Amino acid sequence: MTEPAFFVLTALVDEPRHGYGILGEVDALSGGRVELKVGTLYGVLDRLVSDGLVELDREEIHDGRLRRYYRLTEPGSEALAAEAERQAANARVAAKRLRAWRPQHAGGTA
Amino acid sequence: MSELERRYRRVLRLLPAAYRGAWEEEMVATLLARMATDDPEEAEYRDCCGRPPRSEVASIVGLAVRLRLGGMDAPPRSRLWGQAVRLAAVVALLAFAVPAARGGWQLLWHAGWLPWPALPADVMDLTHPWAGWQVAGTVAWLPWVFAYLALVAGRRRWAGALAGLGLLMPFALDLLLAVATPDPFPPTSMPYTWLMAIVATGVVVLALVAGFHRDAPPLRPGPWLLALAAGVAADTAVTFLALGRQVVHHHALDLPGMWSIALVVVGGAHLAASGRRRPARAPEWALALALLAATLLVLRVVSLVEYTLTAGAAFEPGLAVLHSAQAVAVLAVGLPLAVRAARSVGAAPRVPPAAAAPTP
Repeated sequence: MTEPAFFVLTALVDEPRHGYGILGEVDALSGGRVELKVGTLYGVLDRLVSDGLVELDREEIHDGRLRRYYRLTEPGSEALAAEAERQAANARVAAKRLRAWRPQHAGGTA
Repeated sequence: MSELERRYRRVLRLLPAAYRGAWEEEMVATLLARMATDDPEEAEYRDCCGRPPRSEVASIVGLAVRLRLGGMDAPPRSRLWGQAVRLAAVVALLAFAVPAARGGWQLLWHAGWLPWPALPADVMDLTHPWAGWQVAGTVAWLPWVFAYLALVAGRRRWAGALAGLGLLMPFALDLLLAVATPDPFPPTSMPYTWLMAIVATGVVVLALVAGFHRDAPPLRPGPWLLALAAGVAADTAVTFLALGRQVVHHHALDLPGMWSIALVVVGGAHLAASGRRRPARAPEWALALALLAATLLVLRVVSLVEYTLTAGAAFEPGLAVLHSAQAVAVLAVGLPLAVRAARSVGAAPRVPPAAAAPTP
């Protein structure tokens, strides 16, 4: 799962969001590190909808413009949970290695 | 409709019509929401004079390329174009990597680093006053070998960067040669051919970067590594047996000449193997070879015309006839390939993307 797809799914966990809402939520969730562009967002949404991980919740007209709200599906929630667990396991391995490595090198530099 | 919206819609026209039909309104709403501001004066200015940010335009161009040159799960027509452009790019890269690799190991042999019999003196003479340039020219081509290997190994970004280097280095060297010497080598004495070669090489790099996007399937390394080995063996045989012993003049079998022969052999084999079957077998090969034939034909015709017009007293009718024959042979194979490819493209459904018009 790509990083943009991971953040788009995460942005839809608590409530359905429209395209612009997803962009803002991804920005907030990543602390400004991931700034999705519109071309990237709709490429990701297209793929997530066709894979059944995200589906259309409702359509609204806001200031004369179309807003489509998307929600996470059950398979989408499972895929996100699996990916989050995979990333957490990777992080645990790296953190464990770093903890084991630091004490050995701490003495050498003192 | 504001001028800003008009500009956004113009950029969105790069996307396939079916995709645009499903997503355009929503994308426009999102793009405009991103540019919205609470300051009425600023909003008015943006509506009339604002331009889509370059980063947004680049992301839409990237999406258009991924959709039009689709991966394996794309609609049939987009998948066919994607496969054909990727095939054309990898075959073109192979066409550069083969002479580059041959030149590289020939140089090692020359330097005495390979424990083989002495190199025939007529292949590369290091005592010649041009030898330094010849060595530099050989080294300048080496990035193509690494670009090809990077692509086969699935390192697409590295392949694109190295191919860019392979594009720039030989031409930078030619420029240097033109500036440094009063009587430069043939490439720079035929400026239109030289420019055409840059354009053709640039097209290859562009096809490589565009075709091998993040949704594209990886290459199978085995057959492509074998193709490189076979190509280097064949090129070595031609260089040493024919060109080295002056059986064939080196201008007669220059690179476009060698590529023409290779294309006629591969294209002819494809036409013979696929026969008149409908639907055509491996249509992506017909389209890829037709694209390569068109590029090669332009290159050969430009070099032929320029040679005829500028050679003057040094004009050799035999050489012009041979190059014309190469152009005719490429055309004779390229045309049926193009007809076959056009039929396959026409027959491939332009199904809207799977996610088009999501329904609640």
